[in-house]
Amino acid sequence: MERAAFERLALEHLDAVYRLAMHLTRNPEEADDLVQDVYARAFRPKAIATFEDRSGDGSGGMRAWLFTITHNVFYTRIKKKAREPQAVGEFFAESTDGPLPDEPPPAWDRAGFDWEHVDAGLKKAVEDLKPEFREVLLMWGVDGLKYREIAEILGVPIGTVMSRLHRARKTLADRLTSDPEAVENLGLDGLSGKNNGESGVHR
Amino acid sequence: MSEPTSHNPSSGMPDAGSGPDPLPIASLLRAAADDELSTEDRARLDAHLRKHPEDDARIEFERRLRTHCAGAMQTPPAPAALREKILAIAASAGELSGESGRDTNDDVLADRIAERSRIARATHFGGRSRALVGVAAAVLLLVAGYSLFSQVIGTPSPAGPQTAGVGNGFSLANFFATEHDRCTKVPERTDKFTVADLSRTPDAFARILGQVPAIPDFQAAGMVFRDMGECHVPGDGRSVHLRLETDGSACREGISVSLFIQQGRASVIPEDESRPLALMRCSDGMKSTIYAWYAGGMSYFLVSEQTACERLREAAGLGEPIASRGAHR
Repeated sequence: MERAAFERLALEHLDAVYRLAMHLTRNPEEADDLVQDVYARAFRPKAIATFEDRSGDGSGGMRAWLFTITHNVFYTRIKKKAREPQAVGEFFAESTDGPLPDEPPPAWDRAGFDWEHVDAGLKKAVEDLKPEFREVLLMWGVDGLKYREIAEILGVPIGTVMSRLHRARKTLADRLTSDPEAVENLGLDGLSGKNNGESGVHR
Repeated sequence: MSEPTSHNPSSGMPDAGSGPDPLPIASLLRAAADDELSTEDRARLDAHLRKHPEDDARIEFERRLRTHCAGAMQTPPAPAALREKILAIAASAGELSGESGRDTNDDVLADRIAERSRIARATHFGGRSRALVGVAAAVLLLVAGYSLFSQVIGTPSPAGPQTAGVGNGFSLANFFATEHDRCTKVPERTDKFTVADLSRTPDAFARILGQVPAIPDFQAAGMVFRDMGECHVPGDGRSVHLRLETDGSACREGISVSLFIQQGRASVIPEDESRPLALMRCSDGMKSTIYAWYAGGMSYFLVSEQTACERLREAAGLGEPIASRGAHR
């Protein structure tokens, strides 16, 4: 691909890359810095050639490719700086083998679920997630990527993506229903006592 | 029932031993909400929903959760300043990539692109970043910067000014034309223009550039001042971007004109040349004329349609531009 066309295409995804950087770093200055490093790598001649190869066999789009670089640069930085060694260790050692609880679906009356008042609580719950969960949630929720695409970007098995999504969504659902005030606001009264062991998940 | 350990991409089912394990019900419902079910999973889901029709609501819940996640995770668009820095990085990468055919490998180029990017950050960032990288930036500027800018791309070739720095001009032309287009056509991304009052520009110039540049008499050229703000022209010096507009007295009304001013001499401008250098850039059917010149320790880049550029060049008392070069697409 011609460099100028490549640059134009890459810049079309700047907002998406910035959004991912913001959710990974949770700091505008760090996100700014991360995005610059991502594009400095993306604009290398060999990188452009690599992208041509990937796009040639239909295995990768520009956004996914930039996400891969963003992910790699972010976690490389974390490893180098040893800012959060526990989190990194957990991230890289995460096993997809362990069984996850197959929690029964909640059975409240969703007709009474007041989504209009959910977003603020949801935002806070998302912010409290670990970066690796936020990252998967973002690609799934905002960018609409399929499990397989996310797995390719992160370089992990699809099962790991499903596992992280499972945990992230369950955490969010729990948070939305565990706050008594939120339950009241959301019209979920009367569900307490029906919990079968899955926090915030009812049947 | 356990969570799948891996996933068969073709079927959407997990892999396990001799065949895929069925998805747990919760995962099945989530996968249904995500449109990630295989044919077999879909049949299982239908069977399950016949027995437990109330679980249909769970699928709807998961769909709505996804929608609301998307809303909750939205962030503002990338700041205009960041977009400029990325354009500057692209310009740097374009310039440095010209070396790849010589003695420089791709990794070295990547380091240099990153170095230039860091120099720009050290130059433009205030507060904490500036304090932290000040010493490093000085070293980079002295050691790497000089060799990069002077030896690699900044020195005119023996063939003369008409061929000197063509690659550099190509990249700069792209930067200025893109930035000019963006700032005149996408109003919501113009938050960098912090000074809209002409009387406040001297203070802004002094603060950003360290001196007040010699602005061409744009009013004589039939133009009015719109606004200005700091920007990030590729290179070492700090820079500003002024937006002007034709008032119809000299040429067609409403033509947008950009004037970028950067500290120091841009490498694209030959040292022995007082006439403006013309850089042309055509892309997507649009043509931008860019005049570049150096005066009083500052580099000036005028971007607009040919007629408007000519008017301002004449008003500034600049000579005829030297032969055009730059980017034609």
